[in-house]
Amino acid sequence: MTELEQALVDLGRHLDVPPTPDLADAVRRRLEARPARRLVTRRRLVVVFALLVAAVGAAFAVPQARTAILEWLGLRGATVEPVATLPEAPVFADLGLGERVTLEEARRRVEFAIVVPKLLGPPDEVYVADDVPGGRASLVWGPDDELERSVHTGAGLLLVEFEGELDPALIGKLTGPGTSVEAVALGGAPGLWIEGEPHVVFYRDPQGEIREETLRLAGNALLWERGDLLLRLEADVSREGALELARSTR
Amino acid sequence: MEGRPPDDAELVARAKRGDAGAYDALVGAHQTIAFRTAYLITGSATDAEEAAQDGFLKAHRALGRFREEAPFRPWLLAIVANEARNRRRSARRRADLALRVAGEEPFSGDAAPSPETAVLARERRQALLEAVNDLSDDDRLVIACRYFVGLSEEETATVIGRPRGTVKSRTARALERLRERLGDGDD
Repeated sequence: MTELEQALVDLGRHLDVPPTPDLADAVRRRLEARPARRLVTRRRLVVVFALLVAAVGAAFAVPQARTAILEWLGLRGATVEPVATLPEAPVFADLGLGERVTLEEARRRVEFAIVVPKLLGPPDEVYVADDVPGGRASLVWGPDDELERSVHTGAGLLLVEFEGELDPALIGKLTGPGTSVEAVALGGAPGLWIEGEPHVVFYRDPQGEIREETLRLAGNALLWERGDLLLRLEADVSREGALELARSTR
Repeated sequence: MEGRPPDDAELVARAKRGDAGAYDALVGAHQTIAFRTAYLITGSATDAEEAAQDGFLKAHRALGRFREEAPFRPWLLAIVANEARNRRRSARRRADLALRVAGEEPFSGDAAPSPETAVLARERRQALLEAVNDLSDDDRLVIACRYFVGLSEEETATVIGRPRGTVKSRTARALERLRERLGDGDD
């Protein structure tokens, strides 16, 4: 070490650095407030993403489209569970988006880089939830001239983002007859466009139970992958409109 | 067997299995370096505390993805530095580093120097500190990581989010600038 380097080490010992606060205590308290759910979750679940297809949707009935959907799901190690009937869902249920925060705060709270459709500009409201490892961010744009108010969300557009990679988060979808599920490609990344009659969207807890408060009807929606992220866009827009918005996310 | 404190790898393995005490010990072992690194980036004690605390929580959450054979400290520092950078971007400030007030120097384990020597040493440190504060943000951060916090080149690379080669060249450049600055003062 040169003389200058030694002088720098000496200087470092004489700097006015604030004393280290007791982080161990604060971290312990915050971890206790949020029990070992995540760890348990990681161990128990291997299924990443579940799509439940009820009855037979129009596109799903076509073998070719069905294969594409199953292939896409296979990428995520998902399961497909046909169900006979759709559960009853309150139309105006709590959207279960989590805590309202600023976009900046949300960027700090989740582990991934939040993306925003360039065509829309900054969201009007941002929510974060920590029910999936890595966090879940929901961006909301209010209705305006171009975005109609959705009867399901009350918003113009809802974009939900979370890490799809190793996450045991389960999102389920139940589609009935009158709903079409179509595989779409977004710059090489797989996606699904769900259109037509409202379908049911819900989150499942780590035990696989569907929680009442997250059960609700959803309008047209686009699901797609972007790197490690899984995104879900819900709005009363056309398939082309949704794809254009999805392509503009940065 | 007894008396040997468990090393990081052991603590990480136990924390992964849900042992809260083990993670506690990891936080205790690394909180000072995490806090100081965050402080260098944010320049604010409050922001640094938040960044370090959130960093430890995120690291805990991400433990499942952490390879046990990898060293824990650089990985943790990368997360903490990222938290700190996010806070700094929003706060937009850079605080100058300052010397501790004379007489409050808990680190000096030597016999008390004579008042004259103490004054001279203080002046020398002050001159060096001014030169460090005059460096660009990037250069100062590398110098601070390497010499003030005592991070390795590899760890500094994860903290600034650049390859190790950048740390080497930046350190060399910063040392050269400091030498020039101090040389000018002598003439």
